[in-house]
Amino acid sequence: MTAVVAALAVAVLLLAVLVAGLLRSHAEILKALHELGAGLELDRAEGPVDVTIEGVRTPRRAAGAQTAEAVTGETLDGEAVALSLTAGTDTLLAFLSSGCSTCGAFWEAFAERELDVPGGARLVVVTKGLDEESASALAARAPRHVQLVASSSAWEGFAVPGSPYFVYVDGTGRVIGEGSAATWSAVVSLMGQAHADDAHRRGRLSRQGRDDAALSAAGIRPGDPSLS
Amino acid sequence: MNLDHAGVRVALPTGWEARARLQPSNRPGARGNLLLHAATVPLPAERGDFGSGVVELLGPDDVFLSLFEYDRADAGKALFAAQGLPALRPSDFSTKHLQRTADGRSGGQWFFQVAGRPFCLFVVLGSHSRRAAGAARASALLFRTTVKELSG
Repeated sequence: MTAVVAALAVAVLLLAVLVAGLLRSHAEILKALHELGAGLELDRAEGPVDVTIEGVRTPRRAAGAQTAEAVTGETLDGEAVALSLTAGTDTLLAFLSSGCSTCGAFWEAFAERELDVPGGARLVVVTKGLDEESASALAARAPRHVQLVASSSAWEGFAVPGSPYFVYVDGTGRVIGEGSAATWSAVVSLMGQAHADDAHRRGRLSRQGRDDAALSAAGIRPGDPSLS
Repeated sequence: MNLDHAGVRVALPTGWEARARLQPSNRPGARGNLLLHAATVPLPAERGDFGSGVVELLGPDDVFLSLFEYDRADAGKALFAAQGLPALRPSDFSTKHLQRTADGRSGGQWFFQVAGRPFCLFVVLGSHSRRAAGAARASALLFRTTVKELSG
């Protein structure tokens, strides 16, 4: 009897060591995946997820021809397109794909003709090129009145991490906000905030420029004793 | 930024955008003819061949351009006798060349052939009174346009 109990105790001990080892290796795998950036899982989010809105920055330049000055690609009808981002009109680029379930909410939202786009920007849906996307699936999802450009180079040029992803470009080609969310209302709110912040910043700079010009006209230059 | 489609390549100046597609062919198996639109305003997805839906958006300094290719068999007609992309002069523009005259816009139309391909070029300027600057802006685009010969 004692021998059986001892054998069982040894077996339990061995199994405990085995389970501890498995848990440790599992933790190491999860840690490695986290460091690689996996686990965003936008598709499983039920509501708005964390969104990063970056401040004003200079347009990115990709190694290829794609820059923040333009989006070049093709439509689902085979039309070649070169959309200017520097023609004076703000543009909201919506990077979507046919296979992402979170994108479904945006395809549905864009079906509305009187869509409220922050800052009155024009909305352009950008998918990957048709050699990487399903044209028939996109045709089934994309409303006819929405501008859609299939352009893998745009995804590379804007360093899009995944879909859905949104980039707000002002009429001079400056990216004034970008990020991801799970609902259109969240995108409207956050991109609207980025647009308003940019307008506020430009207004402040404009006032500062006027003040500097007035002081300069009065003969007061930087370093003038009257300014101290 | 370049737009390259069906043998026509346009190096777009900053602020221009363009779209190009092939028109449905009249002959089975034949290549469709090119229709290229370029403008200094955003081009809506739904546009008429000669700019309806776009010219209404032009401001005084804006330009719209439509390059419309005809069947290769038409290249022998007198209408397309001129060789090469045209040089646009301000005096070529008129308020009467538009389908609908309104708001002081100005238009011009040229027929020519390049590399054996017959074309009609239709240009609309946002303001007739500022046609010198508008014609120069449209010419700048044509200087950056090349047309290659295509079979079919």
